[in-house]
Amino acid sequence: MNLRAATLVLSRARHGLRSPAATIGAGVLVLLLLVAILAPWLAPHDPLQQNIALRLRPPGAGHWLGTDNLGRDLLSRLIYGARPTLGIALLVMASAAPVGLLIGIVAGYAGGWVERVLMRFTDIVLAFPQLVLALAFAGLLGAGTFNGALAVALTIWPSYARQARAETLAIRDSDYLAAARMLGIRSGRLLWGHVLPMCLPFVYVRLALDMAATILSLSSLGFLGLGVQPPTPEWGAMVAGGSKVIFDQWWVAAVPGAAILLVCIAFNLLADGLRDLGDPRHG
Amino acid sequence: MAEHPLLRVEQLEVRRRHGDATPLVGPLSFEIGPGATGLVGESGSGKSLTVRALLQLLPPSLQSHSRCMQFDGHELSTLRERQWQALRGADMALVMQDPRHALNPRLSIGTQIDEALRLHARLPRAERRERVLAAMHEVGLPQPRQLWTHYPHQLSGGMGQRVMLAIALINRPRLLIADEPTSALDTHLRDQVLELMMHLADAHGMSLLLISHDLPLVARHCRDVLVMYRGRLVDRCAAAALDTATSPYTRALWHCRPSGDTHGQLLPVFDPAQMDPVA
Amino acid sequence: MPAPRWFNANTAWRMLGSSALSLVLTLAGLLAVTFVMSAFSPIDPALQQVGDHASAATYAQARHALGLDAPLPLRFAHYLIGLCHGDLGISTATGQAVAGELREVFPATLELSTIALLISAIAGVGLALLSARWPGSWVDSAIRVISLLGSSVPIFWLGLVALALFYAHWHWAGGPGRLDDAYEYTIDMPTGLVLLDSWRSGMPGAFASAIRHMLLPALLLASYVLGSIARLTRTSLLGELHQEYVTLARAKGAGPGGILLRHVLPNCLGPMLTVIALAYTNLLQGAVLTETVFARPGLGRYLTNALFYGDVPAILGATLVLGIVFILINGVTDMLVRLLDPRLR
Repeated sequence: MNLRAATLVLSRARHGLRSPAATIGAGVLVLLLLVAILAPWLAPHDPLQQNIALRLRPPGAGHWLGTDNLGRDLLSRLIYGARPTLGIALLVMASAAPVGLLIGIVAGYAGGWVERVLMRFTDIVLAFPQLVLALAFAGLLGAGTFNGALAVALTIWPSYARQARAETLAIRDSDYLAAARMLGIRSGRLLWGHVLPMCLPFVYVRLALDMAATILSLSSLGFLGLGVQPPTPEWGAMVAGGSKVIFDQWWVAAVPGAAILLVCIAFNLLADGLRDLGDPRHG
Repeated sequence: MAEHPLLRVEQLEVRRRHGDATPLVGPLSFEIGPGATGLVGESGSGKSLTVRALLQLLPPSLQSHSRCMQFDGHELSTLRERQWQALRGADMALVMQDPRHALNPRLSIGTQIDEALRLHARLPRAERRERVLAAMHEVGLPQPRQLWTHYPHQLSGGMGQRVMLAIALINRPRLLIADEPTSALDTHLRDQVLELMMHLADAHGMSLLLISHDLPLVARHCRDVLVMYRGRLVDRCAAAALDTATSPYTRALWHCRPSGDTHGQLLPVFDPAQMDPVA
Repeated sequence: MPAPRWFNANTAWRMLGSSALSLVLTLAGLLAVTFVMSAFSPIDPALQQVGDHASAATYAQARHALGLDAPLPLRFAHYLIGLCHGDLGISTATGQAVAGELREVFPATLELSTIALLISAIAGVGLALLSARWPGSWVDSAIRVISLLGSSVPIFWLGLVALALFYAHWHWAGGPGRLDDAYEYTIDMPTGLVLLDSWRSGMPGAFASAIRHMLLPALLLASYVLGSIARLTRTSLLGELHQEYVTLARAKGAGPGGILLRHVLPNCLGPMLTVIALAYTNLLQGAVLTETVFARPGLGRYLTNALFYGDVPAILGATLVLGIVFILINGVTDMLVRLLDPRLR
């Protein structure tokens, strides 16, 4: 990452502490990230260890959150479940956002037929209902962790392309780009060093917002059995497992769903905070 | 009527609701009697804030305060918002600068004039319609019946300003406040609209407060002139006496007016250090 | 009623024409994307039909019968021709024509999401008006919290929790399904709209049963988009309150409520329509998961079933229908916004 972008990130992070929403969101996320990383040391039981004799136990000593229909410890599965939930969502964003940015910046900078073709394609994908498209992709690609992630990634890039193009258009004819061009800076370096940094502020907010949406999409896939496959603990799939016993042992489904809710609230709070800070009207 | 002026203001101040305590405007004291009074000052001198304070139309971030603000002998500073609503548009009316922004783009001309009437008078629909048409006719709008369903964007600036005048006049207010009513218009339309305004104010016995940055224009049309500078009132005098004004700021403004006599000469320079606020 | 003065038929038609052209282009792209998706899917409909143990000859025959051995452009042409005749292929799971099955399930989804939209639009715009009338009051915080929760909650989970609480625990609402079992198998469903059909059936209690079953999913879906409607409408209202025409309206003597309803609201119509259309498309997506959780027969549950069975024609058909509805909603909104604005005549 180039220096200017790095300083921007740092100054944003410092500013972030001034927004309570962003601070709370970031705090919860750091905590969850630690839980995901330290899962083997935090989990009291093996998340895959079945024990039919102890199935569907209510929360209590030994199993703080109870057990699921195969007698697996819910708390341990919850802790391990943070890994696929956060990890896959991060991977999806890390692959989809740069692609969208690239398409948008190239379209905005190149103009002409390149722009028209790229943007028409972007608009077509945007015209689809995002979740339905992800479901259809996942269904046609076949169930599985990678296919589910790919399906979600395929639906996320267009919004980045749209916005990056708008930002690029706004500065394409600016004086400072003309100045940079006169200094003999070539197009590639120009895009990387001058155009991309201008797009970054919106990217932070979008990333945080989209992390919540991505986690919801991925867990929906998991819930429908199209994402992460059993027996790997994943929160969406765990809700699906608990849905069979929702009327009697409600906590089996309630607990992992509440975890999804918590992560998404944290990301949305972070996005809210970043947006307020990024908006010059809020100083 | 003769014993008290129509509007008497003492120690009017406008400040920010939060933040520093220095007033943006004031303290100002002045009186407005019958006929036309001009309020002159350069942009940023606080003319518009003063007007909005007179009508209690300041944005929420600002507040005004005055020791005394009497309209026709009644104290206004103790009025509640509801009482202000009954007063605004009925007894004190406002004409704003730019009809392109001040008229609601989504409502037809007729609806907007009619609303002013509807808010203050309980009249049957047919009678209201007659009065709106009469008001449109009075301000010189051609073919009022057709114009009724037009939208503001379909009007020229001069016609828009006439619509705003019709809105202001339909309830026959005692005081008409015109905030830079001609600044958005072409030069040849300016005098036309102003003369119409003067004529109607005179015909209906209204007092007029004309706010402008254009001293010669105010001098042509008004009887008295109030001069504002940096939120303070620096001079008040009869328009006829501007030639002999004593305030250095008024003198500088007056002598800077474009004129064939001073062509080619250096304009006088105003020195702020000479200022000595009146109010 | 005569056309309003600003309505100019000529420009209106030209405008509709350009909108329609962009609509058709997007639709063509939509078709191409669904086709390419199916063409490159690892799921092999021929293999599904004949099974793993069929001979190579049987398999080849099945491929030929399904037209899978033709070159891609030709297959796309066939696909398009079929679409023009309303043919979306045969479901590999049920053996029925997909188009017919979709026609049966779609009204239910439309019904559910439209009811949810009405609830959320009325409540959302109402909240926004309250918060614009009394800025800084509790309504602001309420809108913030509702929209935060709305964009954070997994709706399939919320549905389960609501079922557990309001149906199983408190018995306030109907359970899964669209009717009680007593009615589900006895009532004729000619329109597919459960409220209408149960009303017309004349069976005592049928309509009440339909309402009780509609309550939870509709409220749930409504709460899902309520926050975004309220929040975006509020932003739009507050932005308009700074306009000069508001000052003039106040100078006329109009009160804050009147200004909001008579002056500001009409000027926010465009953004509000856009916001509500966006919510509608979100509701249709949410309906996919909600129908699955509440076991309501509809397009959403049809799609998730098709996904479960790897039923390619059904997946494509359902996706296509949802895509078309999306494009239509956006296109119609676009035209409405322009037609309603006297400045853009």
